[in-house]
Amino acid sequence: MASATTHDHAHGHGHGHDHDHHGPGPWTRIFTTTNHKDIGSMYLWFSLLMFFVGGAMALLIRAELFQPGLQVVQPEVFNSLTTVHALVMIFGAVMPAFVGFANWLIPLQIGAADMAFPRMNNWSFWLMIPATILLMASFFVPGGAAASGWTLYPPLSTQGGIGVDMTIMAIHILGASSIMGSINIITTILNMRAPGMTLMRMPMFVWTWLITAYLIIAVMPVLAGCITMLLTDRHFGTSFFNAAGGGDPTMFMHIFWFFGHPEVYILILPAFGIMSQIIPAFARKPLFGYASMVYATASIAILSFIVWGHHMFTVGMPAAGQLFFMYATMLIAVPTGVKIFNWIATMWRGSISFETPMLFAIGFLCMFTLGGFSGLVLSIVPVDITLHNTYYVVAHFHYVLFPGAIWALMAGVYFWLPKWTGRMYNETLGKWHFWLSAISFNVTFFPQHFLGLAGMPRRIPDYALQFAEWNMISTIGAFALGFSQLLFVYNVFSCIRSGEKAKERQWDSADSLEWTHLPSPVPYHTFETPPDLRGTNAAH
Amino acid sequence: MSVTTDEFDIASPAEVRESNAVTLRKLLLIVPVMLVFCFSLVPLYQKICEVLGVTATRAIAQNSQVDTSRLVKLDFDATNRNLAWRFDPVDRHVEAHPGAIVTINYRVTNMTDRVTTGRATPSFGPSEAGLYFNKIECFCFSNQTLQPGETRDMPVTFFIDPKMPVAIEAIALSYTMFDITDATKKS
Repeated sequence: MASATTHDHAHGHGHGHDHDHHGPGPWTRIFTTTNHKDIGSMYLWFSLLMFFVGGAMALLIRAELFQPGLQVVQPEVFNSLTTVHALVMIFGAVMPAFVGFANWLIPLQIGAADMAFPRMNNWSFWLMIPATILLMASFFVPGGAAASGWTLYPPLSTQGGIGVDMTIMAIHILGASSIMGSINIITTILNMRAPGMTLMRMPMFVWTWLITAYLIIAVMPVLAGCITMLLTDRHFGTSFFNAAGGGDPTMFMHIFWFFGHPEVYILILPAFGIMSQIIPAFARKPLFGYASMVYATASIAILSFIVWGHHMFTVGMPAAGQLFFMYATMLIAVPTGVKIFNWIATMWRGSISFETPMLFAIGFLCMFTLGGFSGLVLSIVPVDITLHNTYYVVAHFHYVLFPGAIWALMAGVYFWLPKWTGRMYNETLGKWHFWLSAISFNVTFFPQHFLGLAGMPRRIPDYALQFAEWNMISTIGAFALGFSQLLFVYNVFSCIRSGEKAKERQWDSADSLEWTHLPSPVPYHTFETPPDLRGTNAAH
Repeated sequence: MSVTTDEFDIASPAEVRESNAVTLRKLLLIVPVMLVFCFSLVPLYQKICEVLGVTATRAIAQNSQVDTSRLVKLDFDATNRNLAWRFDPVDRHVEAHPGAIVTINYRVTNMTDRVTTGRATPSFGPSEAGLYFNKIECFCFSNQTLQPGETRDMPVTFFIDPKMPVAIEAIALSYTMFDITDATKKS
């Protein structure tokens, strides 16, 4: 599966564009390309591959949890699997996928010829490869991969073997890659918009990425500093987090979550952007409350810096601290609610049609809101103290990340495939993919709320007998969910190879520049002279 | 940033490159600033905890209000366990107000002709007193390694929690010194 993906990718691309690109062969080209469309595709293929790598780990975890007792993996390996599953999904699947979308769409939507720093763009992609190799290879070194959970809390992370060092290096490199990507995105958006494309006329996807990119530049260095302290604690005798030397493991949590909470918005804000492109297109109405969408996104980003304490209510924080973080966290529900209501208002009395991207978008709206509600439950300190580190938390963040981030990505791929490839995907298969995902996702993760409320802790390979039934159901759902995603892969491949020809404006109400100004498929070079949008009614 | 408004003339590639380079430099500046911020969280965290009164040291300071209304009698004792050391308290009897910080000394001499390592464990009588006997500094926190024939004075700095029930009028604290020379060599 893995090698087949990359292989086909290189060739598919080579054939698709050979006629208008007289450069090096396809293999040299994937190393040297500076074209935003090539790099966008490479990001997307890479993240698809990592999605399945991380998914395979998730299935191993669920297989182990199918029944009480130890059947499939040993506890140490289980811990490594939960750790690396999270790191792969966050840094290998979701973030690169959104960067892929950014690369493809931002220049098209603002009328720029390419990204601001095309060579740096190539670099930020290729840095991810050694990082991923380091991360995956850590499974095969003495001591195994990091097993401290993706949060790398000391003292577990100060004790592990060389696998932890490899993980730290991998995160360092991935951090550098995403900082470079973000600098590129911000510079492109600020400096390279077509005449007439004012900031408040930009499509919401561009807006959400602008804000996300600032978040990345602000918090990735904090993560880098944090894991550097971990590294020097491990090897150079410092005692930042080592209590025996006067350090404090709690400080790690403060620093880590100062990065970690903005990070979860980095994973979801671009998804909000994709939603804001898709819902108006299928409701055949302009986006309701464009300006409030922009301000809500910015508010969420700013608030994300002052709520990190809600990840650590149980460390022995004073009541004043708990109350502050509790109310600040609840406050985030306000701008998020603004966005949800705006999307609903966009659909209100619209002429809605339910093609696959819209199905995923509506699925996103329902399921993400559910995940948001369980997040509100967890923000209440006394409730969090009983639910901390239980499966309720696992259910919560999978509700916001799978139907949130991942479905937005799926919706986005279905939405823009006709534009990218010039061909249509199979609508029936797409609908099957959605419904199978929707049902199996809920079978997998809804019971985990019950498990958490009943007291089942996270990150354990074995559990008490009373949790057996719901775990079994959850595992069955997980395998159905995992294998349903193969439909997506098949649909994408068959679309690229033999899909029907797509129209220039496949979705009649999609009104950003790539739909109104460019043919399908998009030519290799676009907007070499920027379109003049002055005096026109540019769309959002 | 220079090319953002409606009145913009189409910028030449050189102009765009120039303004991109300016933006790049501005954005790159954020990276070291945030790195410095991250490392400054280490002292900042300490300072903020101090200001907000959430540190353990602060809690101790509150507990160490000296209660001059009573005096507690303290007896110190020492036992040797399979170790050829002379091990005795320098100060055998002390009286202290709860909350007051007191330092006493033990003296230890290695009577053997080889390097030996010992480790002391405390025991309280009555055992409940152990809950209120707060050691700030103690030789029992770490291994003690003595050269052949070496003599050393080892301090114990402590205070008694003022919350200790008044029923406890006297505390006997006895340290037992264990020979852990072999154990430390192994590890």
